[in-house]
Amino acid sequence: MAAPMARRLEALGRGLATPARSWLPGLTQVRWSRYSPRYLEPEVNKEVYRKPLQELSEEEKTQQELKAVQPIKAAPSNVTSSVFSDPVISKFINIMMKGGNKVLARSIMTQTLEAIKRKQIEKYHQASEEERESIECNPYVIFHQALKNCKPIIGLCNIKKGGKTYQVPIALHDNRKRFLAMKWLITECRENKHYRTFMHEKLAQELLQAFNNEGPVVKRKHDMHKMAEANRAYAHYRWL
Amino acid sequence: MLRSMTGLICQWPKLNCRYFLHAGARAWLAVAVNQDAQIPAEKPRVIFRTHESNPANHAQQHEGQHYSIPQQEVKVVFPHGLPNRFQMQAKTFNETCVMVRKPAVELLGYLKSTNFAHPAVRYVIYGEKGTGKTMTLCHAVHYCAKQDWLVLHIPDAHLWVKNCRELMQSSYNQERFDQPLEASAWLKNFKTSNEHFLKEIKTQQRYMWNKRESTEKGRPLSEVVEQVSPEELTLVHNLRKMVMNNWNGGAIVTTLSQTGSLFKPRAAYLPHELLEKEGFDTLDPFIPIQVTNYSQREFESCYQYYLERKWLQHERARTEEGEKELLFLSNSNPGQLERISAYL
Repeated sequence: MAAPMARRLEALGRGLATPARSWLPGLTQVRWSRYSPRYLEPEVNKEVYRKPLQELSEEEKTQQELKAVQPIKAAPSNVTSSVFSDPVISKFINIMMKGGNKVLARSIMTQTLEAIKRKQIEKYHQASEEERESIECNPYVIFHQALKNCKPIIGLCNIKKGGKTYQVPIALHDNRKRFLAMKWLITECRENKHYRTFMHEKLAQELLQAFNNEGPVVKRKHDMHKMAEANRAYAHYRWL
Repeated sequence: MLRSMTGLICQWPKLNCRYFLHAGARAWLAVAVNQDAQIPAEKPRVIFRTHESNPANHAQQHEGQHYSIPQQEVKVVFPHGLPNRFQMQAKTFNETCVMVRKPAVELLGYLKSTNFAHPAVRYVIYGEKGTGKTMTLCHAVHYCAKQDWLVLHIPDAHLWVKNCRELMQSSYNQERFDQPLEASAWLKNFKTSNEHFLKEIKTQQRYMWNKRESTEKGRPLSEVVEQVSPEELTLVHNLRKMVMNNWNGGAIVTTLSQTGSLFKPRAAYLPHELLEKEGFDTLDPFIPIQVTNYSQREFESCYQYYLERKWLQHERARTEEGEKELLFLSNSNPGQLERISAYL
């Protein structure tokens, strides 16, 4: 009940179009920034700066003029202007990280990508000409597709009514879907596999299975969908 | 008891050594050179492959180009000795391709002009971490194997000195210790690479393995090696004896590396820093060969090779910007470039 309520208030806040969003009726801020609302976000993408002046639209021109006068926040250390940076992979690394050990989490991710690539390229070099076209060797494509295959479409929410807690099907935000997919992948590798295998091996195996729409994580997503379908009768509890 | 072992650890931590004895011209295994090194149809900026797979013919014009070694030769010439990451790469790409580089060509030139009547010349390959010292060594080993030399290839002397699981007191000399596991593994690999020589070299004395078995004088060495019982071997002691240049008819090539060395800082790569005074004096005089990072041309060649083998999969890696970024991230260091392109 609280979750949909908060979302409605946020929509209200966005509708109010306050640039500060520092005060809304009924909401207390728990996450806030030391920067004043005047500060602009930094732009790390080099392509944006290479565009010649004529190609810019009006909005972009005003943005650029604003940048000349307004102060700009410092770029966080996990954001780079590298052409190889991927926000989804960064998010996955952050979720995998334990105790702030980003170095370890990142190295596991790179080893996972390498393991996926090695397996696929070996298969590629040993396959015949017709099969080669169907083998996907790019670990990034495999990662994104696997994540897409693991994302649930509809989620469940605990809603209390009359002393009982019901599992009510609700719509999910994109961020929530992405988070659930990543969380399920990581938990599956940590808990349900042999403890003596390396995390990167387990993850690579899981990702390849999810890419082919098989494996325990996709099964868990299907289970979630089936539960939501089964509890269709309680859908109206969403608006209690 | 362990005093001598710790003494050995301090003094001889860092050499990969091999020795060559020229044993007369005899036909190598007649291996048909696999002529499948293709030059790609589209015009690359730099030609990164060469058809020349005999290291004897590698010259300055082949610098920066990759030559491939057929699978059969790899199994015989390199039962051990190739770096781990390179072995994984060879397995993934389904071929073993080595880049011809300037230090290797220089070393091969010296080896070609060795005078077998003179005492063995010592060469020391040194350089920063990841620059390709072990690969240069392997290139030279391939050359010598093709030239029909007897090759004693010890891939990593650190493995013999560190983390030993079993130690047995030597029966030959009571003060020394044997390492049966490492010695037997090395002997097996030595047998694979030099099989036909072992039939020729005869044993000089009688070896008693235990009360019942013994090898008589004059029997071929292959029988001794097949026994694989290293009661007579004390690895490091004999290694040191072989590095002394008081014998003639071959060459000694060693590689200095900081990886695996004990109590040395990571940035140390010069012979004087890595070998203490005692080690330096034992190896002195030697011919130093320095291995550096890739030049612009070599980097281009490596990059094109990875592209051709479909190793660089990221779509941005194929662009100009991606190449510049790889150059920057790896600083043209071959080891770093390999590790970075592994996950891209």
